[in-house]
This record gives sequence, structure tokens and C-alpha cells, in this order.
Amino acid sequence: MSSGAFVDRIDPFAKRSMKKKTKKPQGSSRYRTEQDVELQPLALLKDVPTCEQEDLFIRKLRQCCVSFDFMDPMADLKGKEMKRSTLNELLEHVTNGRGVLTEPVYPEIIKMISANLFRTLPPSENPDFDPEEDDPTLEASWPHLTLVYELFLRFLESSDFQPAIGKKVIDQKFVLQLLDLFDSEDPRERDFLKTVLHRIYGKFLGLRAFIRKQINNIFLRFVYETEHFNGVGELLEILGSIINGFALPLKSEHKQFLVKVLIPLHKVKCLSMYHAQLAYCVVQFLEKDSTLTEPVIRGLLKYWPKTCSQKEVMFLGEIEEILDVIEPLQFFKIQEPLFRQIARCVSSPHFQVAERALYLWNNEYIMSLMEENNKIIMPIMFPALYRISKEHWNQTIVALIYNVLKTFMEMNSKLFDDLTASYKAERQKSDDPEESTEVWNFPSTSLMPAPKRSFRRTPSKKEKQKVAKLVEKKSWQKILGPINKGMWKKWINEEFYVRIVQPSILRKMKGRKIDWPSEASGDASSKAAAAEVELLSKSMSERLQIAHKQKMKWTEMLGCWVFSGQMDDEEKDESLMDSISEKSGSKSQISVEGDNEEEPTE
Amino acid sequence: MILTIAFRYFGDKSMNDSHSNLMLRRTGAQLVSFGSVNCQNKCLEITDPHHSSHQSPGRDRTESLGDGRLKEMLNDFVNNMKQPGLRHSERPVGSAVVSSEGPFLGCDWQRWQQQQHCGDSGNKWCADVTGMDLAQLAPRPEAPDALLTHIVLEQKYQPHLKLPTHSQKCSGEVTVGIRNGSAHVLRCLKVWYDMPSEVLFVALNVMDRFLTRMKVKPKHMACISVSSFQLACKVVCDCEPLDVAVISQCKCSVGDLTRMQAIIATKLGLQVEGGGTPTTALTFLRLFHAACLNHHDRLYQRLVGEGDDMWQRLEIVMCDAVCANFRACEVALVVLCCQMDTAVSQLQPAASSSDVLSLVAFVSHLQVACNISEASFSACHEAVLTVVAQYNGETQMPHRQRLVWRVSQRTLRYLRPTDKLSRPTLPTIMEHGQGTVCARPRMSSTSSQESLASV
Repeated sequence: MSSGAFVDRIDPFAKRSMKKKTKKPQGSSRYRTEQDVELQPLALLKDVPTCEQEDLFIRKLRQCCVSFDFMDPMADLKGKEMKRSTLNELLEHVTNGRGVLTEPVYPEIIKMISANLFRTLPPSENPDFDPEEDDPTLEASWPHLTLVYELFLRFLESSDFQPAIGKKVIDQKFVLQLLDLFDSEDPRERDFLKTVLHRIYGKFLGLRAFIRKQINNIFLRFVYETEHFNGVGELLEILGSIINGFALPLKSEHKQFLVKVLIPLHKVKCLSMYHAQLAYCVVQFLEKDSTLTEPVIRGLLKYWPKTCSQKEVMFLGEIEEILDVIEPLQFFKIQEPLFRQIARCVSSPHFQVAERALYLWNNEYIMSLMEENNKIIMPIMFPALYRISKEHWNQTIVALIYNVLKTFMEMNSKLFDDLTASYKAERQKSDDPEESTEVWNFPSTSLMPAPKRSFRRTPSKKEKQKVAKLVEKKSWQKILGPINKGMWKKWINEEFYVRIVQPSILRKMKGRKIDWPSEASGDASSKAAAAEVELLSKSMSERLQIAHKQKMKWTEMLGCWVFSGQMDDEEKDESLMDSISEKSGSKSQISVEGDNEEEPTE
Repeated sequence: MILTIAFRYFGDKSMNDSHSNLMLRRTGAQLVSFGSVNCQNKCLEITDPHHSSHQSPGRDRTESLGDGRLKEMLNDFVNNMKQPGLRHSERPVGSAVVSSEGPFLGCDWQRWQQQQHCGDSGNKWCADVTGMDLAQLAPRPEAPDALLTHIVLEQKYQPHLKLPTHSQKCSGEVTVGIRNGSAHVLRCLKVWYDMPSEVLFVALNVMDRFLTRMKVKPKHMACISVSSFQLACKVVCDCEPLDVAVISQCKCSVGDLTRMQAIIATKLGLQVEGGGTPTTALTFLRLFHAACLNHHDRLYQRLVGEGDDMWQRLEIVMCDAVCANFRACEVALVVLCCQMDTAVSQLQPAASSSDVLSLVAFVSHLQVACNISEASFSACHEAVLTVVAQYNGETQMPHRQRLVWRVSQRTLRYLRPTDKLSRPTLPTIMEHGQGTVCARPRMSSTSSQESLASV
């Protein structure tokens, strides 16, 4: 029964969001199959002699097995009211009565409870139900259901309750049906179910293994098949109290449960629904047996979210909870993979992920663990931290990075200095034209103007070289893109003109052929050259204006800039240019030697 | 003290060579002072016991001078020094009398050495050194003018910190610990902003001098140190990191920093533009480094190389209040010696003894030129070694900055997943037996929350 209920409800071809939300979010799957039964009013329990009370109690229980249609609020109001008052009376009787729970009553109570509770849950009103955003569909028959649940609880918690008799009626089938109800969308119902199942698990030792197994099944189906089950959080909460009471040493079954069920639960999309309870369970396990730390953290790293930053924040929160209870030896074992992940989180472009990761350093205990292992952790974290300190857009993150770097410096100044030096050396090395093979993704964050730190904004040698390469490959579009977007606006100013455009004109006038991009070929290029010659006679601002008016090709300007700019720089750059022109060989007719005398004197 | 290098070097392999040992001792003891130049609180006092006639007329023993006058006098002084026939007989440490004739600085040092060696037969230590040609060992110092200038200027920029140690509960005053903590904050800022080393040295110098002059409450220390940093940025590289008030967490506004900068500049007579950078230990170490590279390229290159470590070491040393009180040239020389000291024992293949000797001799010349007495050298050496040992020990710093950890509200809400389980969870069910026990109180570190609340 249970498996059918899950699989049937999932329709992979359902058209989503087609239904309009017209009704109140209330649902019920009750159907009255029998003909209307007129409830006969019975005498009150307190009015009959004690010897007749049991009989009357049973008759009243049977009467309460009748269910009513709550989707029609006006239907059978009299019957509904009578059942409500009867349930209240029964509740009162079970709570306060003495010797009420005689053996014949047990099956009658369970029968009444089954008749009221066990039903096929209505299909979700909203197939796109987002547990966090949408209101849940509430159970329409709640006025009666709540009383039935209350009665059930009182029954189980009664001092007269005898598990030995109870186990005859509360059997595996009953528990299965109860577990199915955990998928109810109504949180009130799930809350009752949670308490009820908790009591059953506590009282019926014979059912414990079965309940655990069935919960496992629900979880596994949830993780690997449906990804949809409303009561995961409640079930986990029950498990939390169960795990808390596990005897030591832990049975291998329980360890299996942790690794095979609880850890995979982390990968489900709607983790946020039950993450608190899940994290609680995991931490309980680790407090019971610290040797489980390594498989748990490795498991978390395995399921670490790649795209969902919200989940990533949750994972980081859980990591902090785990690190709070971790033993130093276990920390030592997992620190390397863990901190490699944390370094990735710190460099996350999503500020919340980075923020959460950096906030780990605010935890005294974690700090002390890092302190002990600083020689391993600092080299892992340092490159990410140092890089981000230079380029992150979010000021909160930058401030946090400062904090972390400062704590590192306080932890081990020497290592900190060594790491700074080696990082810089490494970067210098990668700046070498021979070394850099990566594709240039232009709008990299390093090119974005760093807010409030303007003195760092000069194009680096590497950037210039990359432009040079693009020019060489004639990938004009790649260069044009960012300029059109205004990213390099700062560069294209008067100085740019003097240093870049003008030398190119001079070079042309001297009869040097420059291999312009194909767009500027033939007549167009000679026209442009003529225009440029004319430009030379004008004042600087005039020239700029004219250049803008004529929409001189930025490609041309840029192409020249790359070469003249290189020449203006140190000799190193010149040698680079030599290598570029060598590489391009005879195809390119660009010449860069001996141009110094042509540089503008202004 | 310089000789520790050489002693370590010779310790194992040539102890039997009493000759070179003797030689070494003599070289180290050969502390020639050329008169003393004292410059305190902008008062220049120049004394030359033997050649008062060389002093310019009207120059009193103590005379208050401005910067311009100072330079002028300095030139006079250097010129005097260059005159032949100048005799120097002051001996700082009890060693054999060394009298010398001939040009001193700015001329051919080697020639001077030779003259000394050959001409002064009454000199005992020269008589001892037979078979060893001193001329080969004696180096040729370069740019003594620059060195001299800085030696004189050094006094002007010398801090004299008299801070209580942190062990004394001296409320209301900046302690050594607080000062050192601030120094390390500045060092972190220097790394953070990728500033040249000089910024740090100037900032520390400005801060220390301000602390020397003023009594400062601990609550103002962050503001003072960061303002010093800003001033140093302006002086050294004409730039100013704008977000430093936020980044450094100095708990004061940009306006506060600007005001503090003005106060510091006034108190110290600091000119941001065109005032020149203060003479610091870095200035000296650079001079020494250049001089050594010039004269002992092979061995010194092998020992120190680019000296990356050495600059780093100097930064660390200057972050210490005790070391900051020594003369800048002392600290620089000690750091240089420490660097060579460590390097010489690790050198593979080992350096030749004559190279080491000649380098040691050169360094001791530097010591002489800087007028560093053996006593103060060894005191400084001890202080520096303490700091460096602590640094090399890779231990935790004693003074930690109180950092503020801020996160966005969004993140704050999701800090701890289990915080959501605020209501009491279900009672524990024991695995064996029916009994239920109360839920164990959760052990959780609340440090994140707590520290935030305290902000």
C-alpha cells in the first residue's frame, strides 16, 4: 500500500502550473460511500453506572467511526457536532477515568482511530508546491481529526495503558499506515503523528526495528525516487531522540543508517525543509562515536552542492556544527579535503557562501583547531584569501578576509610571510607569456575597477600581453567587446590618443605598412589614413572630437596602442614584442624596431 | 659581536689557526671613531677632540638647528672628515690604541688601510698580523656621504619609547604590548595594500616618535597607528588607501583619521610633501646591502642574495618596541649580521676563510663608520635575536587584534541549522529498555553569536 501511494502520485507528464488556485488551500479525500447514517444520541458516560460504562464507551467509539464530508461546510452539521462532542467526551473519559482501558476497549479504540486517520491523502493541490514559499493545504476535517489524534495520544500516554495488550492491536500494518500519513501536507497533523510515533517507538520494543526499517525505506525512496515527502523533518526529529539513546558501541546497522541514509539525504533539492533535524541527527551520531567523523565529512564533501548556493550555506552551517564537537584527532584526519572545499567556498562568487565560510573563523574552538594545524591549513587557504582580498566586490567579504588574514598572521607570522612571498612569486611566474596558456575571459573580476582602491587600477603586464596576443590572432571582436561595453573607458582618453593613435599615424606617414584588420582594407583604409593626417594638424581635443565623430575604428587605435604602448614600456616588453612579431613571421608586416624617434614629443 | 659569524665559521674547522683568530679579534676590536656626532631634539652637537680648529666659526657645542642648517653643517662635517691628516683616537671599547692618518671616508679606504698598516709601526695589532695581508681584507666602502648624512639624520628620527610593560597594570597608558599589537596591525595593512616596505618603516617610525613625545591613552592607539600608516603612505608613495578606516577596524571615522594625521604631522614637524622620508633602519640596511654587494659580490651574494628574508626579518624586528629604541643603523647592522650568521653555517660548499674574513672586516668597518659601540651592538643583537627566535619559532603572537566579524542579516539567520529546533525536541528513547530520559542539553559553541552580540 505504502509504495503505491508514493509512486502513483507522481505524474511525470503532469502539466505544471496549469491549475488556477481558486479554492482555499483545504483538501480532504473523504468520500462517504455508505448512505447517511443518522447518529443516535447516546447517554453521557458520567450518567451511567460504572458497570455499563465500558459498554457505552465502546458504543460511542463505534459511533465515532462515522466520517463526515468537510468539503461541504454545510453538510450534516448536526452529525458533525454530535461526533465532535462525543469525541470530546471520550477524550475526557480516557484522560480522567480510572480503569477505563480494559482489554476489550483496545481494539475498539484502534478501530476508531484507524477509521478516522487512515485515508488516502489527497493529491497536492499545487503540483509546484514549494514548501518554503507556499501555504500548505490544510486538512478540512481537522476539527474531528485533532480530537482523534489527541485521544490517541492520551490513550498511549495513559498510566493504564499496557503495551502487552496494545501490541496485539498496534501491529506492523498499523504502523505502516501511520507512517504513510507523514506525507500529509498539514503540519498540524504531522506534529501529532511525530509525537504519536515517538510514543509507539518508545513503548513497543518489538516494533522498533520494523519502524526504523520502514523509515529507512521512506527516506531511500525519497532520496532516490520521488524527492517528495512532507514528513522527512518529523521523522528525523524522532530519529534524533532515538539516536540520542543509542547504546555504545553503536551497532553496525546504525552506522550503516548514518552513511547510507542520512548522508545521502543531503543531496535532495529541498534540503532546507529538514536540514535542521538532519544536522541534529548527524551531530548526535558524531557525539556518540567520534570515529564516524571522517566518513561523515567525506560524505558531505561528496554531496557538496555545485550550483545551489543556498544549500551550500546550509552545508557550511552543518560543518560548523560538526566542527564544534569534533575531536582534534578526527580534525587532523579530514582537515585537508575539508579546507580545500572551504577555500573553494571562500572564493565563491556568491557572497553569502563566502561570508558563511569566512565566519567559521569566528568560532573559538575551530580557531584553536586551526591553530594547532596551521602549517597544513594556512597553505591551503592562503591563495584563495589573498586573491579575493584584491578583487572581491562585496565590502563585507573584504572585511572578513582581512580578519582571516590577520588571524593567520597572528597564528604564524613566518609562514604567513613565506606564503605571501611564494604566492607573489607564483603569480609572477604565471605572468610569463610562455607560461600562460589559459583562455582570456575578458570581463574577469580582476579587470573590474576595484572600488575605493583606485591606486591598484593599472592594466597589468599580463593584461597587456593578452591584448597583444589577441591582436596577433586578429581576434578583434574579443578586444572590441569590452571596449564597447565601456569597460576600458578610462583608457580611451586624450592620453590614449597621444600615445596610441598618433604614433600609428606617424608610422603610416613614414610609409610603414601596418597589417590592419580586414574591415579597414582598400579605399576605406586610405581614407582613414588621410583623415588621420588631417587630424594631426588639429589641437588635441579637436582631434579627439573628430576621431569620435568619424568613428575611427577602435580596433585600429587599439592595435597601435598595443605596439606603441609596448615600446613605451621597459625593454622587457620590447623583447616580448620581438617575440610576437617573430611568431607572426612574414604574414604580419608589423615592425616594431627603431620606432623610438617617431614617438610624439609632447 | 660581528665576529660571531666568523667564529661560527671558523669554530669547527680552523680553530687551530690561531693566526686568523687573532686577526679576527683585532679586526673586530678596531673600532675607530671619528669624533662623535650627537643630534638630539634637533640640536646638533659636533665634537672633535683633536680638531676643534676645523669647526666652522660660530658653531657652538650645542646649537639648535633647523633642517637646512643641519644639512649645511653636515656638508662641512663631511668635508672636514675628508681632509687628510685627520686623526681619530677615540676608542669605544677597551682595545689597542688605533691611530690613523690619512683620508678617512669618501676616499680610498683601502689605501687608508694600507697607510695605516705600513705607516704606524707602533700599532700593536698590526704587528701581530704577520703573514696576512690586511690590504687584501680591507674593503672599499662606497657612498659614505649618504651613510654619513643618514647617521646624522638618524638622531632626528630616533624614537625613545618609555612605555610600561604589559605586566604592570598601568591603566590609562599605552603599554609595550599595545604598541607591538598596533605595529603588527600596520604590518598586516602593509601586506593587505601591497605597500612597499618603506611605508611600514616610516609608519612605525612616525608612530613611535609620536608615542615618545605624547602620553597616549590605549583607546586612541588604533587611530594613531592607522593615521601614521596613512601619513607614511602619503610620504612614501603619494597615495592613500581610502578604505583603511573600515579595513583596519580602528573604530574611528575617516574624519578622525584626518584630524589625527594633522595632529601627528604638527607634533612631529612632518611635512607630507617634499619633506623627505625619515631615516629608518630600512634606509641603513639598504645602504649596507648595497655596499656589501659592491665589495663582496661573490660571498655576500651567496650569503644574502636578494635578501628577501632579510627585509622581512627587519620588518619583524622593527615591530618590536624594544628593538625600535635602538639606533636605526644598529638594528640594520645587527639584522645584516644575523642574516649572514645564519647563512654562513649553511653555505654549501663552505666559503673560503679569507672571503669570510674580508667580509667580516668590511662589516666591522661599517660598524665603525656608524659609530656603534660594541656594547650597544651586543645589546641590540640580543634584542633582535629574541624577536627573531620568536618569529622563527612560528608561535602564536602574544597580542591579538580584537576583530569584529560582521555578516549580512541573510547569512546571520542561517548561521546554525540546529538553532531552528528551538522548542524542546522529543525526549530521548534509550535503545535498551523502555525508560525515557530527558533530552541532554545541546552542547554548542555560541561564539559566533556571542561575539556578534558584543559588537
